[in-house]
Amino acid sequence: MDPIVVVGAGHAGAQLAVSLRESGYDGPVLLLGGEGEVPYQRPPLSKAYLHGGNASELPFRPAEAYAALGVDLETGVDVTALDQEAAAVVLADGRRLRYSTVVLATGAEAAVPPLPGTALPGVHTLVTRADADALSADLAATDRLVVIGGGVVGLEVATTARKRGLDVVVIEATDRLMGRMLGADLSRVLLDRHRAGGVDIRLDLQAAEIVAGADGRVAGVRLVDGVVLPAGAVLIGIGARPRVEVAAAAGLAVDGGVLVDQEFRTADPRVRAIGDCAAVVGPDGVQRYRSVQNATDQARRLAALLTGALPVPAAVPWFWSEQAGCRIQIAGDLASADRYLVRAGRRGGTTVFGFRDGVLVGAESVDDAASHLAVRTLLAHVPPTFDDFLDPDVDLRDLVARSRSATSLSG
Amino acid sequence: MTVPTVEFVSDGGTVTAVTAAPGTTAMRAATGAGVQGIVGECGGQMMCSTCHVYVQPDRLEELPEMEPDEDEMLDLTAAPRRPESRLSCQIVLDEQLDGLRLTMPSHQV
Ligand SMILES: Cc1cc2nc3c(=O)[nH]c(=O)nc-3n(C[C@H](O)[C@H](O)[C@H](O)COP(=O)(O)OP(=O)(O)OC[C@H]3O[C@@H](n4cnc5c(N)ncnc54)[C@H](O)[C@@H]3O)c2cc1C
Ligand code: FES
Repeated sequence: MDPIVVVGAGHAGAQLAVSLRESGYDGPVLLLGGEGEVPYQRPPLSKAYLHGGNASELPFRPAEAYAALGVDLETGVDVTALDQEAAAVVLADGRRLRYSTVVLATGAEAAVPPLPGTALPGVHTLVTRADADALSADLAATDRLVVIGGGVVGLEVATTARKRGLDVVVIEATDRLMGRMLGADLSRVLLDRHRAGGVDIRLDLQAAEIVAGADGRVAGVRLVDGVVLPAGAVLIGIGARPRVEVAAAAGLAVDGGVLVDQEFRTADPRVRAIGDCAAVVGPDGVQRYRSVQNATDQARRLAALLTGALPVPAAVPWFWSEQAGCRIQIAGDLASADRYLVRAGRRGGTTVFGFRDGVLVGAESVDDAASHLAVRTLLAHVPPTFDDFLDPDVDLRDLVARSRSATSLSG
Repeated sequence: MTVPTVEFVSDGGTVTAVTAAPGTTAMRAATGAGVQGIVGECGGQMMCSTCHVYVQPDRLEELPEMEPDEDEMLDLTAAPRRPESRLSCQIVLDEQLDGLRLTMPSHQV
């Protein structure tokens, strides 16, 4: 029997291998990872790990745990192509391995702007542990970091570099931080917190060139207005690009991710895709999420689909970030909201609730984990309406209890 | 020095004993050993509450007191909160906690 071959041993791939076993699949599973490491968590790479965290804390589980589950884990192997006719993956070392189903879980890579100087020593992107180690070494050797891009990874690194005692400048092309993810209110809260923490944030400004010093290493960033910001290290954090090379070379449809249906199938039913590399076509359009929750949730659902186990309902999408001393959490689909309501958390912090046609569709929080968790539960059951929130004293826990019991009555 | 052992009891009653390096959290000990029933989606950052456990009641007071954040999050776990509920990512194991028994709820997400 040919194995289920999982290409990419990150959050989605590793979870899929484990979930296949948990769903009762007892056939062969081959998990192929391009990096030479036991599958590990990415979120700490810009946070605790970059601050001097312990490498042994990164792996999800020790290598032996995969063996114990009967999962063949091979790391340091790059899949270069699919041979759909022979139902085989082609590896960089020339091997061809047959599959019953192949799952692309290849994640995303860092986007790099078309600027001169991005290849200079001292210029970094951050996706892998190796990237974090290289960045960390350069942060230790300089006292000036320039971050290009005010998105999640850039701002988390800015925070960590400040904690490590560096002077940090963040340049952001638009007029606000984390603009793709956060609304204007929390974006402003975040800006204030970063500035209070000593990060020099310049909005509405673009980099024109990364310049080298006499030693051939990065020396600074020249802005479009001609000013040169000195830098001993530069981090580029302008976003991520799904890794779709293998799918595209196989002629599968790609549009900001490998296009799959709601059961994660490409046009070839034996080729599926999940996690950061996938774009799911549904009734409401194409959904592309990049978060740990999405990767692990899609892995669990695909495992259930492949094994015929009880279907796992889609979870409420959520994402977190830690920066400037605050915890940011986003749940649901705030972008589709037509009305907003801002509430202080019970213990400080703020949550912005979003409603569409009067019904709760999502929320974003700073330092208000309880409201965030409440919203996730509310969205998973019967979401409350805008009117439910009109009483300023309404306790979210009561709404949660009501929403849960409404579900069990109707379900 | 004794290496602490924790017993994870599944909702169905299956017991898995896991030995952990001192200083490891119960959440990491469970996920590292592949114990089903602890998810730990946020990696222990107190963001997700998918590491909920019921602590053996007679040893509850040996654990460090919970922070207000943990308390609030426990009100909103996927499975019902009980007096002995804790987030396992906030339970740091040491030799004093050797033999601790943690029961896992029926579901975490
Ligand atoms: C620095 C950083 C911080 C983050 N912080 C957060 C956070 O706080 N919260 C959050 O929710 N999300 C966070 N994320 C996003 C989160 O890590 C991703 O959404 C998640 O890792 C996606 O999982 P994945 O399995 O799709 O991809 P990945 O985890 O990226 O795994 C993909 C794997 O596939 C391998 N691969 C690619 N191509 C091939 C090939 N051809 N052959 C073999 N192997 C291949 C790659 O090397 C990689 O190991 C962060 C990401 C980064 C980089
Ligand atoms: S692992 Fe997320 S709260 Fe404990």
